[in-house]
Amino acid sequence: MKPLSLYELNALVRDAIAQELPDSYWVQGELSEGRVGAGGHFYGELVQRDEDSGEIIAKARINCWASSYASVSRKFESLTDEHLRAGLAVLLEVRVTFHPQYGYSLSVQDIDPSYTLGDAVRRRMQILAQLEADGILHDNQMLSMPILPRCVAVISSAQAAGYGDFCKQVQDNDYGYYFQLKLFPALMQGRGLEESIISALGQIADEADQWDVVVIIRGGGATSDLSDFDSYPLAACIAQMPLPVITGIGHERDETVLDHVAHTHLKTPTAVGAFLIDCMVEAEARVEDLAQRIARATSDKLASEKQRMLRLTTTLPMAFRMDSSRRERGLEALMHRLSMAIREVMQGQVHRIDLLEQRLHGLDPDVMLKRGYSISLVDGHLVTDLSSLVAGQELITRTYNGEITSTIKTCKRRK
Amino acid sequence: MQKKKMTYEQAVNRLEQLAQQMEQGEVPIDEMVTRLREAQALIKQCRQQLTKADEQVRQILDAPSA
Repeated sequence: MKPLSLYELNALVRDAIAQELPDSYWVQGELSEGRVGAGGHFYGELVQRDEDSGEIIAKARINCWASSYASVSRKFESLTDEHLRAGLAVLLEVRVTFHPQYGYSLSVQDIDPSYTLGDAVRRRMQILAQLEADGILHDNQMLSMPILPRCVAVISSAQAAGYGDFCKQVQDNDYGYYFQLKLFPALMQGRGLEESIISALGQIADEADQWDVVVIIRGGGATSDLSDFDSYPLAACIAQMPLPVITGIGHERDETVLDHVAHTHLKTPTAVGAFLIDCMVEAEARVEDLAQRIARATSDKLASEKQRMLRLTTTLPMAFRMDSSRRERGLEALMHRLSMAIREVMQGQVHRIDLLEQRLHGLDPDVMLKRGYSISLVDGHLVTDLSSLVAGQELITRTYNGEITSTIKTCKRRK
Repeated sequence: MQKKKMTYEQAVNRLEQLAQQMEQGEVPIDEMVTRLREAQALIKQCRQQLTKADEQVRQILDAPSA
């Protein structure tokens, strides 16, 4: 049998694959490499690792032609806010191809971004669960936001889109509020992000008494690697900051672990700036309200005192007048009662004297003598008892108009 | 001796207290003027703290950066 050329053999393999695997297949794996080459074609490598050891147990080259890649990458980025890059778990729709010269590869037709998103969410949940288990997840949120967040420690990159705008927005605010900003530079994307933000947080913590709040901001612009912010050490560091941390790392749809631990989580640097200004507006409104309340209370008090004085000036003389006339009336009544009483007493006395006079009149001896009664005297003494009388004694009988002298013959007692 | 300046929060709390006392008529008319002056000074201080750098902030600004 005539040996085949390599091309002929590879062509047979190609035909066999095309015949046996004519459809497209959904395959999951980890993107271990990925780059966009000349012409806008995407080249990469898909691997599967052993769950326990992490060793690669399967590998395939992948490519995505520019015509498909434009829609695949747009679909992926719009949902995940990420580029297709090494390290991501992906679910791809592929066709299996074999090229006599380049060998076996998978041609990407479509992608399911929710799979990648699910993987990122799983990682995030793990970190959050760990923070919760360590009891620090809500530590930063427990801190109270200062009434005046004037001294602001900013963690950002001087070159980061949004940083300059943030400074301008805050410092040139319409109300003229004063803010003191200081940049603690850090990488806001790519390798080294975690370490440099932790280092900046450390510097701020060392001089925490000089700052009111910490702000971590990164402008919008290109979609970027949010997963760099999903770091346990970074989240733990933020959770335990002695100052409230406000994030505005410029992503719209998704939240990172940082946002869960930060005191206040906002979407963009502009939103953070507006938040700080609003805090000052609120503080000023409170002072203005108090000023008005005090002014109102003062004028109310003065008005009521004035009213009181007015009331007193009119009511007092009237009260005096009423009081004195009441007293006068009382006096008159008293006088009347007194005179009545005196008159009553007087009449009683007159009546009594009249009676006495009548009684006394009846006892007058002359009146009795006039009626025919007489009085007998012996030796100048009134005779009332016969036992002291002796026959022969001289008896004088006194009548109304004279005296009779006689001698006692006998004395006889009345039976 | 100059009194130590209150923090913004202390000043606002004192203002709150003054407003309540005045609203509830707890301040005798004799003391009204004194309290009113105190309140005005605190309001001025608070407004200044919103729009101007105070002593503490100036110190930070003047300190040589590490």
